[in-house]
Amino acid sequence: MTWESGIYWIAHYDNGLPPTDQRAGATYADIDRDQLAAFGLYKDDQPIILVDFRDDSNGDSEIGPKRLIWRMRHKQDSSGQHITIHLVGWQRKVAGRNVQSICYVNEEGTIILGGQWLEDKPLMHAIVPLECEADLK
Amino acid sequence: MKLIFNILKTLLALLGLAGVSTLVATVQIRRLTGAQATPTSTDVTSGSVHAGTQDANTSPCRIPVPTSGSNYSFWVNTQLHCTVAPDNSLTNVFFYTDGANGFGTDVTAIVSTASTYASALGAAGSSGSLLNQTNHASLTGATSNLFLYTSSCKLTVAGSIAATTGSFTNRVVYQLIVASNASAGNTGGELMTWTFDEA
Repeated sequence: MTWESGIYWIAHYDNGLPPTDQRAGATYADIDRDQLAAFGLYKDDQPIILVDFRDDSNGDSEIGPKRLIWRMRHKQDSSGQHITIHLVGWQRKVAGRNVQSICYVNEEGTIILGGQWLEDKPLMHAIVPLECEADLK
Repeated sequence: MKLIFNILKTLLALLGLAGVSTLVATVQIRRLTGAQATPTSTDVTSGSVHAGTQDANTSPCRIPVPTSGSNYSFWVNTQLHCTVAPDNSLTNVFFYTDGANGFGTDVTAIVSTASTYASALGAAGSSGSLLNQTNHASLTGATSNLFLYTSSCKLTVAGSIAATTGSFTNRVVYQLIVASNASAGNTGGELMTWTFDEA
């Protein structure tokens, strides 16, 4: 069955750049990650969550920039039940190590703020980095 | 270049010339049956998968209770198939069960993944051939207990797809095994779950 998600994303930039809006047909690969200031999930023109990507390293060279992560994670079973959650957050290098902060947003708008990937928990396992996320590898 | 592209898309949206919905990929769970070279791919997303001593996904699907040893179902080939393409990709596919065997006494199930389709083998109405790397050469590894795979210990299924449609995962192949102390009659059903990421 074809269906439409009620949740969509908008990427916001500094420097007066126009936002990248999924509703306008933009895809995740179109986002200018180097200029990203905030990434938001919206529903019915209202923000559900905004993730801040402005530089917060305070000049500490051990703290790298936040790199955007977004996915729709689908769970589909043989009874026909289909659940979708949105993963949104970031990964960064801190003292040479990858750390991440991920919010798990369900279609009703409930949000769980998670940290490192949890491979043994349902739906909280790691992503596979995409080509447009080369900086996550 | 990217900036120009984004400005163009935003302008198109403002002018009402671009779609404003966010279409999500549509993915079906498919069962593969039939000839090796030209398998039949059936959507079983919201329907039962029958494991019996026949290749077709039909009911009834009896596996005779043996007086000794074991009888097998024909192995069941399943995979994910995309009918509405994602914007970028579908990746990171896993498969699991609830971890509790609800088939009853002396009825077990095994599973593995396969890089290509192989027709289920066996004697219709009597027993399928054992699912192993001898009978199914493209299994990616030895079989294991189906119910070992749960939401906290998922079976990794290789495969991904870009912004297009089609089948995109390795096959998840499983088989029921009936031993002599099994009860006659229908077993209970079991839920099989897939997860995957869309971007």
